[in-house]
Amino acid sequence: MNAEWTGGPDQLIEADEQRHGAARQFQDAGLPLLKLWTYYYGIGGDVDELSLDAYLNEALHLPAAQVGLVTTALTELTWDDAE
Amino acid sequence: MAHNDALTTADEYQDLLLNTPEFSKFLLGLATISASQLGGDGAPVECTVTVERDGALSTFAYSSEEGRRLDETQYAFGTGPCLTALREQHTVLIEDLQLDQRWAPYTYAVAKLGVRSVLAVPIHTDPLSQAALNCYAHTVHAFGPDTVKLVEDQAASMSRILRLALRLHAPDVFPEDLRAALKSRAVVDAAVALVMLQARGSRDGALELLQAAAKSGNRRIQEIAQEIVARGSFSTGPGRGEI
Repeated sequence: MNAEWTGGPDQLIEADEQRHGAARQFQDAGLPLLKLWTYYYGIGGDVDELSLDAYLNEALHLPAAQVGLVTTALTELTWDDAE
Repeated sequence: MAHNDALTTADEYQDLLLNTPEFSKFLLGLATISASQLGGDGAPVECTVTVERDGALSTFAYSSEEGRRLDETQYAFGTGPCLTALREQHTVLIEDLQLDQRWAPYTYAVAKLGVRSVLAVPIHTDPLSQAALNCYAHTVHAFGPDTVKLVEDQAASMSRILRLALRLHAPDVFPEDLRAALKSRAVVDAAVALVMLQARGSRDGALELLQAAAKSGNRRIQEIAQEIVARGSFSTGPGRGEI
């Protein structure tokens, strides 16, 4: 699942921005990585914890579907805190 | 018959592990099973199980309120036969508490509670944790060689199930979170499978569809997945139609 980048340059910039946003959201939430990974796994996530860590440290790109699940997990976990 | 008994006990342990979601309740079950097996011939025996993890986190379980006090006393003194059995991994037998000076402040305190003899046996676990099965009796010389052997056998048969329990209930993960994640994942996977089949689509496509449905309704993926599974199909929710 550690996808090599296959999109064009414009998409790469967009993906970088999205990844940067996710990284910041993760930092701001102060979540343990394990908790995020567990939740992400629960909603169908497929990459391993190390790849998720690399993604959140902006060192790796993930396939679009996985990116969506990571951001969804971050969002839904903030709902948990609000409840 | 001894063989048969051992089998029954192993089954009992397994049922206990499968049916108890909390580690402390699991230990309580172990202590209760031991007490019921030892106290068979009239003289009641209190049993406790003590577990230390990473040298710090400890859980103890007791077959009675009295057992709790006995164990707590030991923790308060920071020393005692059970802690010695646990930390040094060998059997400790005190045949007459009043004649034993090895753990003096502790032994005076439990003697006041009416305890006369103590047997503590280590339960072998993993390198990160230590455990012991402890028995207290109100008479001196309550634990003869046969009983010591019996308790040692019992501790040995607990070893495997306790190692399993320690893995299942690892202290640094969140047991409830893990169970919730497993349950959620099962529902999401079932929904994804259904959507893929109906759309003759890819897994990624199905996941994206779930995400879009969740996003447009401001709802959780898991809720959307539950609906899909309950209904047996993905009906076009508000805002989203084709895959």
